Amino acid sequence: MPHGSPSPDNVDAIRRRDPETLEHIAREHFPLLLRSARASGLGDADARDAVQDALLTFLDRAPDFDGRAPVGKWLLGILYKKCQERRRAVARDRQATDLEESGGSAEPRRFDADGRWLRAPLSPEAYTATGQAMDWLQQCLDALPERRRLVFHLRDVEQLETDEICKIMEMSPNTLGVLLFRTRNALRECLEAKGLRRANDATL
Amino acid sequence: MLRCEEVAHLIGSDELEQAPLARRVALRMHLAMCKQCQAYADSLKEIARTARRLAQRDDDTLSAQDEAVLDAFAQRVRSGDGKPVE
Repeated sequence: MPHGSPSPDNVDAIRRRDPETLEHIAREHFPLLLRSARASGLGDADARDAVQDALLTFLDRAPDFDGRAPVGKWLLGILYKKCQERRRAVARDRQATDLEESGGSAEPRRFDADGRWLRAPLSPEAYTATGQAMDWLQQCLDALPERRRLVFHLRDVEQLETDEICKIMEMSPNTLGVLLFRTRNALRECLEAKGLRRANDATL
Repeated sequence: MLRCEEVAHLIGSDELEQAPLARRVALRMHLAMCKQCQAYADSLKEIARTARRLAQRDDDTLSAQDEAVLDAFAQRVRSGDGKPVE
């Protein structure tokens, strides 16, 4: 899902709030924005409200658009803040999430003292061969803390560059790397567990 | 020789992209010899691919509620007529 750069006239049209241009941009980016709002942990209705807020802010700030980043990235940056605002209402999760991300919670040990795998990773066929991989992955994604889920979504689903994600979510490349690593490992381990459970059931 | 732990970290954190050439070559060599890390790398790719299919499964056709949001936006755009809105 690539997001192209705006052409120079497009920047100009955005800045003077050309209605057709703005409406086109809103429609074109709507699915991306809605997917990302959901990935940030909002339910369907809240996600749509956050997208609406983001579009109105986009309209307000359109004259400031400088075209340095593609308009889609700019929108995602605005949306991220709107999602945070909405989530503040359900702020109880925040503290736990922050703790976890600063290394407060224990990550499972995956390597021995010599840096070798404690448990060999399964090849992906272990869980993709069953035809349930998509449902399983959905369950594993739903179990992730919100920030991790969004990081994974922007990087591996929307395939944004890492520096773009750092800008949108206002984090250092180092933090992003740690979050990506932990999130991908958590998803892999979650899927492996489901695949193994299924394999065990089959042999019983 | 890189250790599995370093390999997993390079791949899983996307640090590989910024890594110097020598490190990337060392990683290739490790992957060629280590089935476990190869399985790890394959898994992450497959999970990303599955997640993209998942995102496409239920998306991109706008619902009536989505259209309502876009309509409201369009009205706002046209009412502003180029002047600052609030």
